[in-house]
Amino acid sequence: MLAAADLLSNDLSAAPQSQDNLAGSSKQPHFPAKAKSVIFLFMHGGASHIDTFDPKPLLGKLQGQAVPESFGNLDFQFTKIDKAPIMPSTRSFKRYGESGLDVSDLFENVARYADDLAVIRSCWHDGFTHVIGQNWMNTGWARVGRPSVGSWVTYGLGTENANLPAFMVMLDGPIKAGPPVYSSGFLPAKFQGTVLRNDGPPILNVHRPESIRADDQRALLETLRDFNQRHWEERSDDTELSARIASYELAFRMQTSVPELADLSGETTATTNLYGLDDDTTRGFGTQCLRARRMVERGVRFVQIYSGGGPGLGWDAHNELDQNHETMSRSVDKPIAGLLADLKSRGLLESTLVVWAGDFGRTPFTNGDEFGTGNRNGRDHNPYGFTIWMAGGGIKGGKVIGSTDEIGLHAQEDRAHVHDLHATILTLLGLDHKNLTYFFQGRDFRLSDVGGENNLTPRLIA
Amino acid sequence: MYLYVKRSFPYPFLTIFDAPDTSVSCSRRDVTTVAPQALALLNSEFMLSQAAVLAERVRKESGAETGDQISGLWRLALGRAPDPHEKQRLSNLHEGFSDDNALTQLALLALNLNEFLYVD
Repeated sequence: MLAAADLLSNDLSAAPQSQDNLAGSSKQPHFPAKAKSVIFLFMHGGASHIDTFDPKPLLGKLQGQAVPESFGNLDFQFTKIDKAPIMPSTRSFKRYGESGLDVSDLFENVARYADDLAVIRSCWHDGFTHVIGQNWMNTGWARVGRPSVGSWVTYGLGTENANLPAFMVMLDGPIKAGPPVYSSGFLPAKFQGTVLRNDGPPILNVHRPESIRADDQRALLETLRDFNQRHWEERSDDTELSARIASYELAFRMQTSVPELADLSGETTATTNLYGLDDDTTRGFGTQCLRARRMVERGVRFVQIYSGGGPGLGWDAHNELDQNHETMSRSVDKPIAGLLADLKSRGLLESTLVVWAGDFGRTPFTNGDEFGTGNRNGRDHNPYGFTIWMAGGGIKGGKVIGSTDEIGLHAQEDRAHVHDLHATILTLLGLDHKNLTYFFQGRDFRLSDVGGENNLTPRLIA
Repeated sequence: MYLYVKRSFPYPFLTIFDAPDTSVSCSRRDVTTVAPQALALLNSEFMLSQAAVLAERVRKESGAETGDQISGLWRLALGRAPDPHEKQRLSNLHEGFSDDNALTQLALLALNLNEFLYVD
């Protein structure tokens, strides 16, 4: 456990004299792992499991009826459970691959990789609003302030590329819960996510001004480092000061490495078409997925992509679910399939864990108090039972884990709380979720808090 | 200091430094320290223009001699005189900068120091 001892020490703030990257140099995991990096695809607003990966034929028979009392009383953001009629899915489901995995037409491209997907249908938490759901899924806690999954992972494993941030984030608009969902919380600041922009300079100010020569800037930075280090020596318990010193080193190297990372001109047309860059509908998310592949190829540890950012809340289909989900899925389905195909053909899928998730799932009944008042054909938020899927990173695909009840309301068999999902992700990366801790406010904190007992890893890799 | 900000157009320089969302209340500011902030302080037009203004003031107040300029710059930025080590390194740096904006670059350096940016 020598490696673990080093890993678990709280003294991870890079001493300024070391050549450390923001996230520290590469560290050994607790035990050997296949997954080295993660691409986390987050459907902002909450995609409906019932209309994508968890078909519920019984809903057709119960259409328009109230949810039977036996399902119990639950709170939802806008809906009283006894006042909303059940709404069946109008999507067409097919069985795909040798495994015969059920996928709806909303993800017909992703479905071609059914045999690579492990669909976890029994996910749950208890946050029925966006901010809380996003906090749960991204940080393992309902309230703001805990480190994000990406921060924990980079804290545990460091980086494999000293010239790029270890944890990178791509957005198509602001996240409802804000930057805290990709921040480092109480972990040292160097473990937080860096946003790669879609337009203009990939990271603001990444280009050196023309009026300053490269040699001059290097000399300036060397002097700056020297002065900042002398200043730090009398304040060596301040992680912010040391993080700032390390950040200048990375900043200098990023002036070359980031434009190179973001530049897709070296990719073949076949590759860019695979991600849908030839189509306005898929170009945005496709570009992010292709950049994600370039990131993991270059050793970036954790890539977080949010689909559907901005005030419209993306997948948040309270009204006209079909219209909403068709628009949203059209923008991500082909790019995600392209990403899986490309990772596979380059031999990167084995070492890259791809996770598809969102704030929560959606209710089997319509949104709001609607009996006799018309039907807006939308669904409310459902954190009590929803689906995520994982692929790559050593997972054997073509399988379903867990289930929801007959109407898709509660997670039922093999219930997987967010803590279990996070414990599973850490385990796939070779990290023991109970031993990846950080001492804060008088106790050792974990990403999986006091949960994570239902670790899905053995079943995912078998 | 007050700054007029349009709600729909957050000021990018402030966004990099964790300016809160303008559409919701903010009970507590986030604090982060990441490389994009270093890039902004090194490369942005805003910082270059501020460095140029500072250099101009130093030139006006401390004259044309490099040693005096260095002392003047340190006094304005840090409220103290440079120690011999700093003075030596800054002189060497100034000599190495061939361009006529050498003093601007020294001013940029001063504005990037932790000692300048953090209240002790």
